[in-house]
Amino acid sequence: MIVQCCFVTETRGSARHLSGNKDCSARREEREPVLTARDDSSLVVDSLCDQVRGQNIAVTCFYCDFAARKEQSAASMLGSMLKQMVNGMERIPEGISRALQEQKRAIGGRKPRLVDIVKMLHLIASSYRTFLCIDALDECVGVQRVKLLDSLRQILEKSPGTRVFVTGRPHVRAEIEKRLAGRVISVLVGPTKGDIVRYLRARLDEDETPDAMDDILEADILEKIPENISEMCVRTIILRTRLLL
Amino acid sequence: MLCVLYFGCEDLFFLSMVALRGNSCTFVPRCSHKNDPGLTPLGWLVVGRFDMISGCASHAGVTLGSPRFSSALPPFLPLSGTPTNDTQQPTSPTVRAIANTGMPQYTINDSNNCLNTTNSFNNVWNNYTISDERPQLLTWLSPLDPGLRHWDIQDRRVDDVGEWLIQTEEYRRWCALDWEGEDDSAVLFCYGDPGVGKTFIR
Repeated sequence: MIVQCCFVTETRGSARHLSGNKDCSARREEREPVLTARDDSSLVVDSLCDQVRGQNIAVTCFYCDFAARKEQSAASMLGSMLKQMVNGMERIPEGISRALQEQKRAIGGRKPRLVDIVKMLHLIASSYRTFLCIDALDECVGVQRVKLLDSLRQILEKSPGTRVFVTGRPHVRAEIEKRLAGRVISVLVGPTKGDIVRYLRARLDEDETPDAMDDILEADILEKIPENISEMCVRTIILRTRLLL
Repeated sequence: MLCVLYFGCEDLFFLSMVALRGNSCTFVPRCSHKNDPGLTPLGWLVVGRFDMISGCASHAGVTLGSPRFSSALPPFLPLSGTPTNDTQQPTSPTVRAIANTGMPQYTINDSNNCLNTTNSFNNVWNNYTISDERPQLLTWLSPLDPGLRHWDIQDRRVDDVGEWLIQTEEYRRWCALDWEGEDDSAVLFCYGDPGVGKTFIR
């Protein structure tokens, strides 16, 4: 679903508190700096950004990609999200800076291990409420997916304020619900009829060969396709329709 | 890691790449008027987030022309000092690297770390360093950068599709829990078959 998230530091405004918990809000008020996520127009990230603006909240995202599965280890994926957080901070947390210095002592340097990344994520999640959004978890290599889910469980255990958003195909549902037992809400995602109509209209508006389309055909597409078709197939059908004309 | 430089000479400006090594940044501004010793650099800018630009570097021909960078170009910052010959360093060669909208700013500062002045071009000085561990730290944390993937999907997304999701009770529970409350819904998993819009939902 969501992909990438940029951070900016903002001057603290009048924060709207999601929890309504005054004690927690007061504690957040004491922290510096304030991180909010910006620059993303995807639904969940935008929604989160609207809600968290002015608070100590970090929103970070990652895409799993089957084509890049060799590079996408649990450490590099979580490290990428950690990188987004650190990049948005005016000051690098001392614990993270120290970890970098310590690795230099190893011969030739050493890349961060998964356990190091998790520790550093803990460090930030203890100060910032953290949203971790991971797209297409099913595209991750199985063994790395296990490591990733176990790491997420550790983070959730130590930092209850953390929230994890995951998308994936149905076959990984059981694995996620097992590894993160007791913490998962699963929602079946599918385009509504309204979604498909909006999508079709947008694509028809972008048609580079409008002469190949007439009102009757357009009305036919908008009426029949939304009834039982998924987004992926819509592109194909429009293309084929055009080729047939 | 690479970052992009816009290098100004009179009314011209040029583009160069820099390689970040360790905790320093070394770059050579390349001026196509290298045979004109009278040409004086006005200044240069580093535009964009270091970690994001590094991901773009391999596709520089495409990315550098994108509005994300070109539209955000601020005016050139003048150098407070300029070289008078091949080997002399600028008197105060501090140049701010302007980050893209909302990004942290970095400062290029050669006062302590300038490596040498061997100059293959007549009108510019050679090497500068960035005394900031942030780029090194970001690279160390992970080589992955989902930025390009995000831009691609962002371009192909359709407004208002999938709005129903944030209206669901499940979503509201997920994002509205107490800071340290018991969390039986700390993880929201949206699943569906290929092509239903999991990645594009919005």
